[in-house]
Amino acid sequence: MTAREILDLGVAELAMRIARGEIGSREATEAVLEALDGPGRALGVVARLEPERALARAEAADAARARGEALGPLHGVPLAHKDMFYRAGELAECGAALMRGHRPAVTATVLARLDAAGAIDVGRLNMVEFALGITGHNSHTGHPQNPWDRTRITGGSTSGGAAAVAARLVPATLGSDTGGSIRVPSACCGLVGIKPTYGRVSRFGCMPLSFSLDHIGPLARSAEDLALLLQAIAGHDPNDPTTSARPVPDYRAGLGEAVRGLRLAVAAEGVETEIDPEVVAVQEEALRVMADLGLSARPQTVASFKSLNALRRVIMLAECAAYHREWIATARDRYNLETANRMEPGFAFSAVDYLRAVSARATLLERFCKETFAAADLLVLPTSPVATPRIADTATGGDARFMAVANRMGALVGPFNYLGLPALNLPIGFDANGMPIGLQLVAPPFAEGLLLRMAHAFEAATGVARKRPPFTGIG
Amino acid sequence: MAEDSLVETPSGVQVPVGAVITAEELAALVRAATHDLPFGAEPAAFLTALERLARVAEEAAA
Repeated sequence: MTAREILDLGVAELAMRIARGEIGSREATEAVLEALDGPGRALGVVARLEPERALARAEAADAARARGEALGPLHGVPLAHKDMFYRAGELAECGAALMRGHRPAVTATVLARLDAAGAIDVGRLNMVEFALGITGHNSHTGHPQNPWDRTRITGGSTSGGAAAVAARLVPATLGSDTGGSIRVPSACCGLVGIKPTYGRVSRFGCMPLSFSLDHIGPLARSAEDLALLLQAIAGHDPNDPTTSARPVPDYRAGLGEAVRGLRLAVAAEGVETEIDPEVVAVQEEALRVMADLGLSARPQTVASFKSLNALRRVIMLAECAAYHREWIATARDRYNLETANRMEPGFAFSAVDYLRAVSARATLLERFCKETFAAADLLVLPTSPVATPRIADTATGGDARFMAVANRMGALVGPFNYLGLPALNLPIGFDANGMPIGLQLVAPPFAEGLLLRMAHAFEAATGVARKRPPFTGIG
Repeated sequence: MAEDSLVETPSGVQVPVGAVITAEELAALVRAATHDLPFGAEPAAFLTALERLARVAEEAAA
């Protein structure tokens, strides 16, 4: 099999072929390393590669397979991740000049779990500085480019990871999502990406942005691949006291269950955000596909997104400001303008307002679930209400125009960080510029399996997920 | 005062007036959203609410 053919495989297919001995892990890892080092650097997605460690692990995986040993469901599969997942003693620079040379003392639980599942960690991918931003801009590392149109943003903050997976440079990646940082880049780059329920996946050893709102999850090119990665990383972690002890279901086994009869609530009044007409049109077409699959849909008034976003922003900005206080007071000029400008309101909040926003979460979650899921299994709404803008049009140094674009792009995703509900971006079509458009599926707490099942059924019914962008590592 | 003039905040960090205005707008929205809600739920109550509501949804679907 050629390197190009290997790069076009998803996680499940690659793992299966490695397990059968049709592809060596070393062969697959070399293909990914070369793709990231060449097209990946051209696209601006690579923070750093670790070829020696990766190839040594790949050879060990091949040797284990030759002995008849199975390391796990991701045996020998090469992956690369956002530059905020720590591995003890290795660089984790978080897209920030201030973090140059940072070598954490601990390894992220999610990386340890991927290791245990047999995955090969080949390196780190670019991200928005300190993960604080939804557009993907980062003047320190260069703005990663979107493989669907290299003049357009990738979305962020999992910018490099989303672009790399879409461009077939790596089969999947991990991201973090505090206000849309998995779902928005997934939408901009045409990927499935899931923000699990708060408490489903450990944040231990991951750079914090806002500990009350940070979620870790995978981005991939299919729901099946997403299921495999989520399976590997989910579950209680004694090192993260916010993780749930609920058992983790078999996500992959659940993919084939029927979706016929599921009830969709289509978010209508309450979202309080203008949605581009072409986003609405593509969503309507997706709902027609879902109707053909046997799902019913009805409009749903939702709680005020303006309020939910304000609650989320107060928590996020206050926690972020507390984390960055010493640096911003002494080294503000070492931050990107976009980052510093977004962070600054956090220094001005009162503790009372922060605590009221935190304290209201359980009550507002209960209300939201009662109103939304009483007569529906899933809530659906666009992931981003706007077409993906050009890099040049939004690289304005964090001014008011940039803030307006960023806040609008995040208007439909942030509420689910505050509510902690699982939410998935599903690619459903393209705009007039040929850029992907994503639909956001939201489920009751810990119903990730339902989201994955719905995404899998939609993928099978349409060809959207199989389309490749113009720029890829496979030519 | 110009929006880029710096002002001292309670956290001891100087920020532009515009950032303080944004914070005041967000705080006003938080106060409006929470004025009729009971206060006292500790952060962990949110985690238990997620688990309880998951059970409710599972029982309804069964």
